[in-house]
Amino acid sequence: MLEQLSFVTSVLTVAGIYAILALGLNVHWGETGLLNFGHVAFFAVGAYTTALLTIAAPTATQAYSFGFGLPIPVGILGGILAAGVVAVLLGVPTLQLSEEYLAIVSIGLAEILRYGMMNENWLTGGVAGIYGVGRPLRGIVPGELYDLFYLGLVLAAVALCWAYSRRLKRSPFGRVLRSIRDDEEAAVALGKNTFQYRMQAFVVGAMMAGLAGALWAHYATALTPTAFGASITFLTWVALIVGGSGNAGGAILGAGLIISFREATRYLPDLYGLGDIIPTLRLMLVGVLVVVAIRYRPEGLLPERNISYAEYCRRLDYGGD
Amino acid sequence: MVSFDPQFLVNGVIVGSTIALAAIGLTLIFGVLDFINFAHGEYLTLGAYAAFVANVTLGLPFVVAAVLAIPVTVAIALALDRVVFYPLRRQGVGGLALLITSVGLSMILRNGIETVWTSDNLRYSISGAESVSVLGVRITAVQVAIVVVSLVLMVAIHLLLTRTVLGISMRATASNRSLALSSGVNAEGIVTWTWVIGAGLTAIAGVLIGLNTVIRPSMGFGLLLVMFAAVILGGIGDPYGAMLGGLAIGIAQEVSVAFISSAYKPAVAFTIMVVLLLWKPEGLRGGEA
Amino acid sequence: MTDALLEVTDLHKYFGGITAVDGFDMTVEENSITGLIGPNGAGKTTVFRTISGFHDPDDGEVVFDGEDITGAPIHEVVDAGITRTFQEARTFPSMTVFENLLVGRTGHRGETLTAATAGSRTYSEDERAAIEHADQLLEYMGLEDSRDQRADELAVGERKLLEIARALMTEPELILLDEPMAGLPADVTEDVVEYIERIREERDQTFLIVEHDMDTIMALCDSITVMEAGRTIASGTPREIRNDETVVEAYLGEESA
Repeated sequence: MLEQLSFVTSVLTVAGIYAILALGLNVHWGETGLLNFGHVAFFAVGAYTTALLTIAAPTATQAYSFGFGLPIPVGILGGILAAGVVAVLLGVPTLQLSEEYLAIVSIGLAEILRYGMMNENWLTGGVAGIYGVGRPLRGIVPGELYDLFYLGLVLAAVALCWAYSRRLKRSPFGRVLRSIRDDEEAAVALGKNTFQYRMQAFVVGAMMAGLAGALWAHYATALTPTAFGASITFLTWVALIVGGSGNAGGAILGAGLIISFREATRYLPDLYGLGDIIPTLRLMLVGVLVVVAIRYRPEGLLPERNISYAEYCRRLDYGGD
Repeated sequence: MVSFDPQFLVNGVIVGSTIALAAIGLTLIFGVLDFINFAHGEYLTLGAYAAFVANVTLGLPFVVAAVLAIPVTVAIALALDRVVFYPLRRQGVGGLALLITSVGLSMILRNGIETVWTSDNLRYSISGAESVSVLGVRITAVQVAIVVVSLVLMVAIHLLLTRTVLGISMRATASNRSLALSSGVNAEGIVTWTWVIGAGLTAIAGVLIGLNTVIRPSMGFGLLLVMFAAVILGGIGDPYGAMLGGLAIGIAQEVSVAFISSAYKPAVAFTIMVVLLLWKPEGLRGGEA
Repeated sequence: MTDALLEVTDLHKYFGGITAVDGFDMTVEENSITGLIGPNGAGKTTVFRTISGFHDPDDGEVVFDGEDITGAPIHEVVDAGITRTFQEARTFPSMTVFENLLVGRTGHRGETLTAATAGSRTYSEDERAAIEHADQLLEYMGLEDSRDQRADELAVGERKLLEIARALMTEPELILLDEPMAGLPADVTEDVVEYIERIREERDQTFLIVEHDMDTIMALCDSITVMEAGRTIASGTPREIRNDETVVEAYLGEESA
C-alpha cells in the first residue's frame, strides 16, 4: 500500500512539474501564438541556476566551479529570473520575425544549451552533472512524509501558475495577446506595440518553465544534461495540444494525462517479450496522439473559452444593460 | 590553435554537399507546400535505412541498394502526405497545424525505425574506405564519390528547374505561390512532384551521409537544425540558395573545428542562422522574405 | 474654405527597381468623404500604406492636422488620429465582437503586464471606460445582438461593420477605408454606405476611401483624387472627375488592356 502511494506521489509530482511547463507554454502558444520549440531550455536554465546557487562551494575534486550555498527560496527565485533573462536574449532577434523562425531558432537554442551543459564542465559539471542539490525543509519534515510534502509544494506552485494564467487571460493585456495571436498586422494597425507584448508573454512563459526546472532540481537532487533533452519540450507540446491550448485547465489536464500515461506504461516491460522496444513504442504512440489530436480535435479536450460581455461587466461590477 | 589545414575545407565540402542535397528538398517542400516539415530529417534516415536493408540485409550491391532507396523513400513520403497532410490541407488548416503534425510524424518515424533496428550504429558493406593522401589531404574513394554524386545531382536539379515545364512551375510556386496558382499551375500535380524530388534528394543525402559516417535512427533529426540553417541562409523556397547554403554551412562547421571544440559544430550552424535572421532574413541571395 | 485635414505632397515610394508612387499629391478636407481611385496597379494601396505608416516614403511630405507625420511609425500615426481598415475585414477571428471592440480602445493604461499582474482593481477605471465606449459603439453600429459571437462566425457584412466600429474605438479624426466594398453583396454595400454617411454626419468623421466600385464612389464622395502610374492625374468633385478627359482615358486604357 505504501509502495503504491509512493508511486502515485512521484507520478503526481512529475505531472505537476509538467503542468507548470505546460502552463508556461500555454502563455506562449495558447495565448500569444508563439511557436516555442525550445521550452526545455528555460527548464534547464531554471534547474541549473537554482542548483548552482544553493549547493555548497565545490571541493577540488568536483568539475564545476560554482556553488554559493544560498537558501533554497533564493535559488528558486534565481532560477525563475535566469529563465526570464534567457528569454529576453532569445526573444530580441526572433520575435520580430514570423512564427516559423522562432520555431527553428528555439530548437537550436535548446540544443546549444545542451551542448553547453555537456561540455562546459566548469559551469555545469559536464556530463557527470551536479549532485547533492538540497531539498527544502529536509530536516524539518519527517522522512516518510517528505514526498507528500514536496508534492504539496509542487501543487501549490501549479495553483499559483494557474491562477496567474487566468488573471492574464482576463486582463486587457491578455486581450492584446490574443489579438496579436489572431492577426498581428491588424493589431499593429490599431497602434499596439506588438513586439513588446510578445516579448513580455515570452518572458512570463519562460519564467514558469524556469520555476518548473527549479522545482525539478530540488526534487531530483541530481542534474545531468541527458535529463534535459528535446523530449521534455515535445511532451509539453503534446500535453498542451491534447489538453487544450488556450485553456489553463486544459494545460494541467493534458500534463496529468500524458505523464500518467508515460509512467503507467513505463513498467510494462516484459509482456509478450516486448521489453526492449517498449520505450520507443511509447514514444511512437505519443507521436500518433499528436497527429490524431490535430486532425480530429485540434482544440483539445478543454477548448478555449471566450469571455462573455456579461463576465466582463460582472468583474467590474459594471451596470451593463 | 591549429593552423589552417586544407583538410578542414575538404571535409567541409564533403559534408556540405550532402547537407545541400537535403536542404534543396526541404526548401522546395517549404516553398511549394507552404509549411516547415519537421519530419524532413526522417526522409534522410529512411533513405539510409532503406539502402541498408537492400545492401546488408538483402545482400545487394551497394550502388543498387542506394538507387533502390530512392523509390522506397519517395513512396513512403507520398503515402504519408496522402494519409496525414493532404486531409489537413483539404480542411484548410494553416501551416502551423501542419508543422505540429510533422513534429508528431517525425516522432513516429524516428522511433519506429529505432524499434525495428535499435539504436545501434550501422554501416554499409562496401569497400573503398581506405584513405589516400592527395596533396596533403586525406580522402577516401568513397568520399570522392559522395562529392561527385552530389554535384551531378545538383546539376541535374538545375537542369530540371530551368529546362523543364515542371521545374519552372515548381520554382514559380515555391517563390510566389499565389501568383503561380493564379497563372494556372496545377497545384496537386506540383505537390506530388515536389515530394518526389524533395524526398528523393533527401534519401540520397541520407545514403551518402550513412556512407560517410554511420547509420542510426537519429541521424536525420540530428541534422534538421543544420538543414534549416542552410535553407534560411539560401532563402526559403530557393533551391540554389539551399545548395550554396548547405555547402557554406558544411564548410563553416568543419573549419570551425580549428578554433573551437568539435562538440559545438552544430552551434556554428545555429549562430550563422541567428546572425542571418537578424541581418538579412530573406537569405544571402536576397529576393522576397 | 475648410482647412485641409490631410495634405500629401509629392509622395514617392520605390520598391527595388519598381516605382510605385511617383510624385503623388492629395488633399483631404475635414469632415469630407474623399475617394482615391485609379486603374489597377496605379499605386493606391501603396499610398494608403505609406500614409498610415506601414511604409516609409522615399520622398515627399504627409501633413496631418498641421503635424508632419511623414515616415512616422504606425502607432504614432494612430495616436495622431489616423486609423486604417483592411480590404478583407481583418477582425480578430477567435475573439468575440465585444472583445474586438475592447482591444481597439487606445490609451487603456490597464493594457500592461504590470497592471495585469497587479489585478483588475488597478485598471478598473480605464476598463470601465473602455466597456462603456465599446457598448456605445455596439449599439450605434447595430451589433449588440452579436456581441458574444466570435468574429469568425459573423456574416461578411457584419464583419465589415465590426472592423469600422473597431476603428472608431481608436477615436480617429481620419479613417482610411481600403476597398471597403470588396467582396460584399449589393445589399450589404448599401448598409455600409449608409453607415459611412451617418458616421460622417453624426460623429464629425472624415473618411478617405480607396475603391474600385465606381457607383459607390461617385455617390458617396464629396471629392475624388484620381491616380495613375504612381501620380495624381486629376482631382475634384465626382461630376468634374466623370467628365475629365485624362481620367476617362486612363480607365479606357485599362479596359482595352
